[in-house]
Amino acid sequence: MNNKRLSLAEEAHLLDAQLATRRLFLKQCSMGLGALAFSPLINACTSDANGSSNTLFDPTKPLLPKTPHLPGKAKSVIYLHMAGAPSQLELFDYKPELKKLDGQLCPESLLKGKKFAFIRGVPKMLGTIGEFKQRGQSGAWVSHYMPHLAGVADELSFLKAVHTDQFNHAPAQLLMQTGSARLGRPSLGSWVTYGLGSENANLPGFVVLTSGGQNPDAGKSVWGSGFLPSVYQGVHCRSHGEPVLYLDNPANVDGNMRKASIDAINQANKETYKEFNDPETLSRISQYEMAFRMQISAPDVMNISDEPAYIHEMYGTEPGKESFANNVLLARKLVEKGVRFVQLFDWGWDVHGNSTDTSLEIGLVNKCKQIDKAITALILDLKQRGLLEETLIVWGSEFGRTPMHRILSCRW
Amino acid sequence: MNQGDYEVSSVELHRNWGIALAIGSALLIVLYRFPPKIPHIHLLGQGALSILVLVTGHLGGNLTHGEDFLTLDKPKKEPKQIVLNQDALVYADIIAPIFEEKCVACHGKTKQKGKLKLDQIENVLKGGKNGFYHGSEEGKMALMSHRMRLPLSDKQHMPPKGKTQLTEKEIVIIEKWLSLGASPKLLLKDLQLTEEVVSASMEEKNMAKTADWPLVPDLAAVSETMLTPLRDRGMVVLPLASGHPLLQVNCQSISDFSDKDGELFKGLEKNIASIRLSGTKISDKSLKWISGLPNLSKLYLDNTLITDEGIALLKNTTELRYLNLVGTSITEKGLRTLSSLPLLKSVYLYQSEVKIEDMAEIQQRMPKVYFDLGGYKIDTLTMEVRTEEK
Repeated sequence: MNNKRLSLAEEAHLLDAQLATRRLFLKQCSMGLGALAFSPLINACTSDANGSSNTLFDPTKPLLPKTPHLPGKAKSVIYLHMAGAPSQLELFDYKPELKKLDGQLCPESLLKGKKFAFIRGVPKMLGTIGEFKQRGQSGAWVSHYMPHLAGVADELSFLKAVHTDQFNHAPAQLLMQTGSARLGRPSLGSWVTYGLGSENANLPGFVVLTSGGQNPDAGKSVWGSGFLPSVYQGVHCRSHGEPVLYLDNPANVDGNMRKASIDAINQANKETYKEFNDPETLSRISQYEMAFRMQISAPDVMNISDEPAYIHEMYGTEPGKESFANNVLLARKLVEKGVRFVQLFDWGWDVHGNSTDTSLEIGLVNKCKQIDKAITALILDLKQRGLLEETLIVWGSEFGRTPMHRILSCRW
Repeated sequence: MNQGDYEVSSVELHRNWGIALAIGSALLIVLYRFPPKIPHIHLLGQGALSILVLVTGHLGGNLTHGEDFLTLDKPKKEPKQIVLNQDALVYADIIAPIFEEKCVACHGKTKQKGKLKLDQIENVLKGGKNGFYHGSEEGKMALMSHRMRLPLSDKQHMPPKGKTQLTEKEIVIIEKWLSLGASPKLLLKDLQLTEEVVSASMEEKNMAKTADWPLVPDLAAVSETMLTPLRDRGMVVLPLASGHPLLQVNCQSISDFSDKDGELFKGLEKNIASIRLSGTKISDKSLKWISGLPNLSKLYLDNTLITDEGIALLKNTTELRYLNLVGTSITEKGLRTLSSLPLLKSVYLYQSEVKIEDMAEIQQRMPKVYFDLGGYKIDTLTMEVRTEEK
């Protein structure tokens, strides 16, 4: 720009001339037109076909139920994960040929180019130990390990197409639950509650229950929310004592006082949000509010001792103890109340040892005993309540067993 | 000059107009450089050039998209239904129309991609540049059959990805006809199609009966504002899917939901496909407004105070498929009144007053309905525990 002083009229004339130049048009409008073209793309993410807002994440109501893209059949999921990898070859995957090959050396074609845990050199084949029969009208093969479940074989469908490249429990569990063998991805339940919300606003949308004495090898990441807002991570309920800690009012604090203090905390959080605009703050506010609502609804839902005796008999539950059967009954109660995703982890399925507890002949039988009747009861109980039609029950694990002995004096 | 897959005359026409356009452009430049003293000569020149561009461009379009590309989409052609008269000529009556509709735009008179023409039966039998058969002569499989069956993602799949695909029924008929020698004299009955293919069109008609939800092509989706009063009352109200006119409503968590709340559904009657009233305080009175929901497909009345009298009102909800009566005082009297519901599939009666000895007769009246009385008991089975054999 030159330094010559311009008169007001000249300045106005220059400005007007600048506004009329092609250069200015291109300079200004390249961004303007780009933004114009981009705006429907942004809208495409936030509105459905009707143009009505269908934002996936509303931080103030993160669990608001959302419309699916296609009409769905299932409304809830109960996912039963047997941590430690039960042997499919003993339970559902009938391989008569393998039984014939029992004790023979493993053919090279099976080993070539693959990596196995605990296997070096050429191992011997290990035939199935289960005694298989075709069950129900579908003729599905189920072994003697699951006598009760075999009775409801027609309610089951078997997916025998899953493959994993992870042979250590923790990464394999992560792969199964989050789609990646490394940390940092949201789990199945997180995705489901993020995408569909949950129908009961007074309970968490994604509840996790554990049994078997330990958490799964991969730790809490298997129900973590990864890069999704933390409100979508699974709420891990304790198996005995209070299901969710600190829900009860502390001594000398009544409901009103608790409500007042939560309101005060939320007010402070709202101020913080105004200042920093971090959506995590909003998640925190909504979690406080949900915690308050859960005070009323959770103790009732999480208490299985009110169930009639024949239901306890059916599931084989022992109220007060940590057991898979108790968790299965809880899962039914939660699903009945409209919780979207309930996930159960049962630890102790790593049965490839020689000791009593970890052998295919005894350890596996004991584990099956703990779940067989309870799962059968879950299926029949949901069925008689008219809820099996809209509840997806998934039973699975991180992997199964290889068809050979492992070399190291022990089994596979 | 290699005319490729296109009809020579069309290509030449396009070329000639293109040359004219080039010359015209050059002339216009000259006109600008040395303007003669004729008024408006520039405008005239530009006008002439525009016409040249339009015509040349259109001819180019004819080449790549087929001669009728301008009018193709406007009066949307009704897809032709295959008439399954057993004495129909397979080629003339069934296959030729399919080719006409889905193939000749690229394999016709004007354009012969892969040198294949499907406009006349002689040309069909001649095949394209790779001939009629696929691979060795032994298998004698027509190349066309092979290409139709390739996965859609395969580059050689025909019709190509993005174009109107053949239906399974059409593929089966063409395949069968080709494998029997592709004679123009073959009649439909000669193909000996399985009952399945022949009845496929019947099945489409029966779709309405087997669908999970009522088919409502004329029903408009509800605006969000219409749903606000319901949501403010605490109901979960969602369309079955994005943009779907039918709604599913869940009133389960409203502890004081009662008969008078039925008024909230005024104006939405046709849209409600599923309503969950489990454990609410409704009584037989509510069945009045519920029976006025013409598209109601799923109804949850479990753990409510309804009785046989209320259930009797349901006889007009002809779309009803699912009925949950768990924990109610319904008896077999109420069940009998359900026999007028044509689509009813499942009724849940656990903890109701229905007695198992009455079920045989009711099941006979409604053989297609699944009744579940519940009360399952699981006998504890023992599993033989074997000790280590080795």
